[in-house]
Amino acid sequence: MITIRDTLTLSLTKLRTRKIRLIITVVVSGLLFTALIAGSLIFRGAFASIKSFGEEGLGKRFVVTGYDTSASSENLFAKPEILNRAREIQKDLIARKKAEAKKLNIEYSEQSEPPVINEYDTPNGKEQSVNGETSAGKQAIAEYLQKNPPRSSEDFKKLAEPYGAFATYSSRYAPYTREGSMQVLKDGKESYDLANNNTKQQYGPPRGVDSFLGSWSLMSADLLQPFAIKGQSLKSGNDGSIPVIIPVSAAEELLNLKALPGTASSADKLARTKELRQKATDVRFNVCHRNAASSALISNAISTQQEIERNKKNKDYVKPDLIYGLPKEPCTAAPVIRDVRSADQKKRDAKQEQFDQMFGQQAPSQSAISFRIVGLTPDYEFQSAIGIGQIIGSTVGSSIGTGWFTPLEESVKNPIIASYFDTNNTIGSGQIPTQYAEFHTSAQAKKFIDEKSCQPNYMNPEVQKDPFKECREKEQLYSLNAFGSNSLALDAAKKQFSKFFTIAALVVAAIGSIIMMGTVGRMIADSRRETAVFRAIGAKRMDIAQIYILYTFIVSLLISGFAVLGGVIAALVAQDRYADGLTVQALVAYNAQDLSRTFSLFQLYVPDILLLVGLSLGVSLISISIPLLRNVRRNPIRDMRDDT
Amino acid sequence: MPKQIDKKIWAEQLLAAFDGNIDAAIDALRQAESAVKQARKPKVMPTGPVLVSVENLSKKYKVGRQHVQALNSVSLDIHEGEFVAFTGPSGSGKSTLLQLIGGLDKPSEGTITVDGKNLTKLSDRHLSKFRNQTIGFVFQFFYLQPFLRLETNLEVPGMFARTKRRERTQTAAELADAVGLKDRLRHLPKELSGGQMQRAAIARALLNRPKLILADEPTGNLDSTNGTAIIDLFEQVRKDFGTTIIIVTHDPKVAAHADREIVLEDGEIKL
Repeated sequence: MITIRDTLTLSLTKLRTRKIRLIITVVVSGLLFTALIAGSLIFRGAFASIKSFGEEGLGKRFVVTGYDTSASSENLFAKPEILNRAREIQKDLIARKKAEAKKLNIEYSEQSEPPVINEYDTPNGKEQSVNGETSAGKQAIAEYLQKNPPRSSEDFKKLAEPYGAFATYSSRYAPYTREGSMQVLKDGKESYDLANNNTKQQYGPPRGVDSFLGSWSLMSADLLQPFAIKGQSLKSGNDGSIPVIIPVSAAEELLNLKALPGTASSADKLARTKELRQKATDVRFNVCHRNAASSALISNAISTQQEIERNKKNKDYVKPDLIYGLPKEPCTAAPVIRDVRSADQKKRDAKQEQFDQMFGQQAPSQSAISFRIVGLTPDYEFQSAIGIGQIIGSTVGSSIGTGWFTPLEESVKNPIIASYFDTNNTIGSGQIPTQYAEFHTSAQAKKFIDEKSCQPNYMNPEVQKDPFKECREKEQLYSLNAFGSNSLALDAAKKQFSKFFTIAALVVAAIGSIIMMGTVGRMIADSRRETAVFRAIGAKRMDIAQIYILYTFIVSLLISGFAVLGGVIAALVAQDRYADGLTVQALVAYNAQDLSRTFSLFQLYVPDILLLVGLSLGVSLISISIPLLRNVRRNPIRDMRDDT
Repeated sequence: MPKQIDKKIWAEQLLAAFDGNIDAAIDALRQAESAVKQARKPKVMPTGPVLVSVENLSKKYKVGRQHVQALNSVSLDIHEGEFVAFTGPSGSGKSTLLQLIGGLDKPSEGTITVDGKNLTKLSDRHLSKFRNQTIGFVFQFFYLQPFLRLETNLEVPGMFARTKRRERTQTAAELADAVGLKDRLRHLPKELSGGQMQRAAIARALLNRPKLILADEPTGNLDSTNGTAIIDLFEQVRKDFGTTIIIVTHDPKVAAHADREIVLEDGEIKL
């Protein structure tokens, strides 16, 4: 064996051959590893920061969230027994209506009834579903749920207690389908742009007060407490106001503060956070609830006004006998502004009203609910592209989530809210409450998740029709996850990251190996003559191997050096670009009282770096093995001959 | 001196024979060639101990699907301090014989003994050591490492021998001086002329003080002036170090410098 110094002398000559190819190899392989190292630095930094911020949120608590998977996967609308029952109820309803109409001497046609069963085409043929907006459909589902109630908080408690859960909580998301409307009264005024309001109700714009309906949740006060601004109570006030945690943009709108531009500096954002905490605290605002009949009158008033406006110059146009106007005061009934109906007409209308109310139509009603701001949540950000800032930002935002939160216990005391979130009135996934269990330790929570969480098997074609079958057999009825950026959630995120990191590292290693094999293999092939000469002048096979192994080691060190340097630069760029913004976001998300906390996207995690450097070296050595073995086994004479 | 004898015989034969008749001149040349060979044989009869002994050596190559008989039952002895030239047409087996003597390849049949070692029985590891310690190779195309300075190039055989750095640096400097390249030690091969590169290659071959130098067409890539200088250098090396020299050449003038010319044809020694 030749000395390391001599091996180095001879190996370094190899670096001077095929320079361009070598540079391309180092840069391309280096960039692949750069991405991994940057990822490690950034995410490890983010995890450390989240842990630090989490100390002020739910970081020291171990909460597991559970979602009833079997209930959510069950399509009630297509259940044959519900379909049949809905048909029966509808048939009976029509018969009763016909009889009652005859009795009251008013006109009634069953054609005026909306279909109770909808039929639609699917790739598997025609399928039927109950129309949940009809009274027959609602009743059929309600009866079914009464006979087959969804799992309750008690059920979840029984499941979690054996694992050490000492408290359980629940939350309810705003229902997808609802009757009537809810509207935040900005500056105490009601907007009558109902068409627009309905659209808002359906999809919920993500910012400002308009985000209310799309992102309103009721959540146990114990879970919300860490996110209330210091000194704020989650109990209803003496004035009956319900405490609410609202998005930053909604607070800005309610306080008539102009939203900061996207380009605002972090210092400005931090100043805004401080300002909002001071100004928004204890601010009260009203939300107007109108039931379906009340909303219909407002719609009627608007459309009639529009009709009159359109026919202003039409001499033949006859105004309706009964005209409703828009209320002068917010959240009050629509006033009658013209009523020239005959006595007979009034009598007929009264009979019709009696008929409608007899069959479930409510009388118009509206009322305002008073809310009191007690905390802030970050705004939901629409992501058009996925970048480092967005990924980390979504992690930061997951402390309790984005949106409007009111304490469940206080909210349901309000009959309007209770009715609004009532299971029987809210068909869809909104009807299933999310359950939470709190544990003393991370290990208890983890064990609960590991043993009781349902992992539906979507991949197995045999169980695709019923992915939850296996879960039910194992009594794994909930999808369980760590909640609120506690250390368990962080561990889960870290585990996910490590898994991703390992897979990415292996992919990079495979690609790097192919690149290296090309370069080193070519270099060795190009050096056959030189190898032959070295063999002729006395080099042993091991001496030759030593030279190429050291060369490969040097190349892998160059790649590692490039990657570490590139990774550090990339992480510092990310730190410079996103850390300040994330700091502000985290201050809001975790309701941090210490405003001097900062979010960092840079933390050196030595095992990751060693893994990558080791991988780079391993890849290089693997990639050299085949060409090297081939080379040293060759007959030197042939190589010298080939050259001449 | 062989050089003078050759020239004299050639000149006499040509002058005597050439009377304007080409055929007669060709015959005269053939006779001259034979005379030269005859003149060479008794020049310096080897007297020292045998360094290289080849017995019934055969070598078959497989080229594609065909077997080529490169050497066929060749036997010869070369004595210490001898200067031998292997000549013959292309494909006659002279380079093959040189490489087999150098332990670069294994024979199909027969034995090769160099410096008392039967090469056919040596392992690859021992063959490497043998090449490093006993043999000095000189190639037609020099084969210097292009990115190493001359001084380091000369030291390469010492690296494989694990000779101490200081020792081999000193030896390299002495050898560079001996081949007239003392002032070129810091230069890269590309900064040297062809003749200088071949002199450097000879110096490299001598670094481990080998008993035998094997040179394959050492002047094949040089002009006649440099070729002559290289042959003179080989003479000098033999004189100074007592090294046995075997060269493969096509050039009759180079062969004429040797003590003995062994002509190969179709893998056999032509008698």
